[in-house]
Amino acid sequence: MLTSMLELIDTYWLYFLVGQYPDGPLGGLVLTVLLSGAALVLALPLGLMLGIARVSPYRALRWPTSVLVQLVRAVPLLLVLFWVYFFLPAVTGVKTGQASTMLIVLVIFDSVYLAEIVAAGIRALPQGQFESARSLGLSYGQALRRVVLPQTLRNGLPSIVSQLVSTIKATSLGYIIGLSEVSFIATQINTLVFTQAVQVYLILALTYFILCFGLSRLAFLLERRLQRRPAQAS
Amino acid sequence: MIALDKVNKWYGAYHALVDVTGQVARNEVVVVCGPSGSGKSTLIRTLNRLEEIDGGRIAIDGGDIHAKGVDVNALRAGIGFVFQSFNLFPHLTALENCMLAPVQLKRATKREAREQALALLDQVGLAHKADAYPNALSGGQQQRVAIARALAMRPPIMLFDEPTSALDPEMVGEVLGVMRSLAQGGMTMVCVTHEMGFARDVADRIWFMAEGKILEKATPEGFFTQPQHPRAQQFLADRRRD
Amino acid sequence: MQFFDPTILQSGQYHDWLLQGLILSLQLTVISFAFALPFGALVAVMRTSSFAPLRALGATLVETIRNVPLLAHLLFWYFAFPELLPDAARELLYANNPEAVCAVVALSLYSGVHMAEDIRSGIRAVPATQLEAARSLGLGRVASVRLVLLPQALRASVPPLLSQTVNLWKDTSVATVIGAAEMMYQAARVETASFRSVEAFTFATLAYLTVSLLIALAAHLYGRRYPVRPA
Repeated sequence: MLTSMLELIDTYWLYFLVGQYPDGPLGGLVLTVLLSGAALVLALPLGLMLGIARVSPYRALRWPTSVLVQLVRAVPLLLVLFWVYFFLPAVTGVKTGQASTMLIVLVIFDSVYLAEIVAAGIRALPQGQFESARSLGLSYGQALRRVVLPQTLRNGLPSIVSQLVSTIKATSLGYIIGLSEVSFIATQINTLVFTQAVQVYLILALTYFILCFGLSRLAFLLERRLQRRPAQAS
Repeated sequence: MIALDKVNKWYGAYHALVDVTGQVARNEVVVVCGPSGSGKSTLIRTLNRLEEIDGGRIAIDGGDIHAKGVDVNALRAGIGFVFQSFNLFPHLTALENCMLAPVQLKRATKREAREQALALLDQVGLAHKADAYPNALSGGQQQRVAIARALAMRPPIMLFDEPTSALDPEMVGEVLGVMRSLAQGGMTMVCVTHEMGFARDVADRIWFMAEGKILEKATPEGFFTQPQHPRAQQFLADRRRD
Repeated sequence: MQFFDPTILQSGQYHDWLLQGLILSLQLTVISFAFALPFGALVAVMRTSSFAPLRALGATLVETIRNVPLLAHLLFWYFAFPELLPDAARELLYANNPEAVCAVVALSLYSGVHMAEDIRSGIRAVPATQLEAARSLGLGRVASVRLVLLPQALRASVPPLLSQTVNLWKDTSVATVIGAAEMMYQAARVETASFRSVEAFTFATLAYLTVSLLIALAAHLYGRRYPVRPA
């Protein structure tokens, strides 16, 4: 079993890694990682704004954001993917490819979950931090920007890394709309080789495991480090 | 300088401040004391509008602080507030804590703010800890940095909300020492505190509060030797027993 | 051709397809839940055991299953696993709705380890002093766990478990990748046959929303009725 797996890796590693590139669009593991990273980075400003709105003292900001977040979380990601994939071209007239569609959906998904991380982080900060900032004469916005958010983002870093792990797993859904991410490529390889399904899918599982487990450990270490050097006022 | 006129506040059905009236003159040090739940903290927090009032008037330098068009941030920039739990910003060094407001509110350039912050930290005896983060400082040190931070805005008034109540006993002295020298320098101060020794030595006047009302206003000498109100008498008797 | 024609949802062939899809989604959820919860409880107990190899095994199970996406699990169970079975067993599998069976296996394991973590955090939420206090009163080990630890642990676990149930309900949608004829599969099928994507996806959206919100409501009511009162 092991030798056949090693042979498979030896033969198909490039295809697995980058798909058809450069003879076609980018695919494989690199596509998975790039899409996930790009989605998280793009979603951060959006998630930040939504998170701030979630804890805003103005009901007009708080309620619609709350409803939006609850709605997006109540529906499967695949359904959102289908909506965007089938509708965006009809609505905008622009034919969006699978990768762009996936990116848009991942950004929506990440913004909503990041919003929850930011909101939870802001709520967890002691009230005194905000009060002392305002007592110095800083406005709500200045207090948020200079005192609350720096602490929130630092404390929320392990959760943000966990969200990256979720995003990497979510990119696998691109398979269903024909995106050449790593699970899709694995199935292509399986179709080519045909007799070694177990080996192929074990390699796929192993790849995800190394990537996701590695990042989870990073999140865990970050969490530990944050607890040892308490940046939190008592 | 500060004028309170029939200030009232309710928390739901609970009457937290009842017709509170009083004046604090320039350069005066007023200590507010009383049993727990008497409304002392609530009162001092209304002065910079951390708490809003439901009735009455508060004026600082003659201007109603609740008037339409009053900029709350500008008001607060002109009042220094020191909290019981210090509330230093843990992601900034002691120096940066003191520099934040002057720079953000455009009262000083970064260089000016830095020089001033260093001078203030020196004044509270912590110039050597300028680059330390709050989690490396003791409680007493953190509170002294908090005082320096409040002073960085050069406020004419300083408010202290039980500044030593969260400190271990051996650190109380260093904080009271800073407050003492501030008073001697002529700062207008309102302090909520349980430290009766400080009150006796430094206060110009003492306001005794219970159940949301100011029951007695006296000089320290008058208050400690001959309290008028029975509640005040009981309060001091309880203290002596400790 | 109008934009939104609700009549196709109310009767006719497309309606039937979508309804069958909804029923299968619900069945997958319920059956997977029935397997996932005991599996999760078992793994949680393993992870909190005082016997180190058992703890290690529990941790390995959780990490290996959790760090691989559900889609990859489904692909493995459907395409790879049957190869490992003896011929007779494989024939048996293929004769009996293999898509649904493999979906249940994948969903049970995936959901199960997440539930294990929720139960474990519930157990850890009960301070060790609680057990100490129980033992100090003279209660035996089993009785202490049963009367003091478990009730508090379960009460703390129920909200995240209900949240995980919502996730399970949403995850059944991924089973479409191996051809299980659940709701997303049927919605896509209606779309291909009739180009009525709006109606089909609206049906699916409403179905998912309704069940998710119902479960969330149950969680909210449970929290009200049995509030977590920290020690």
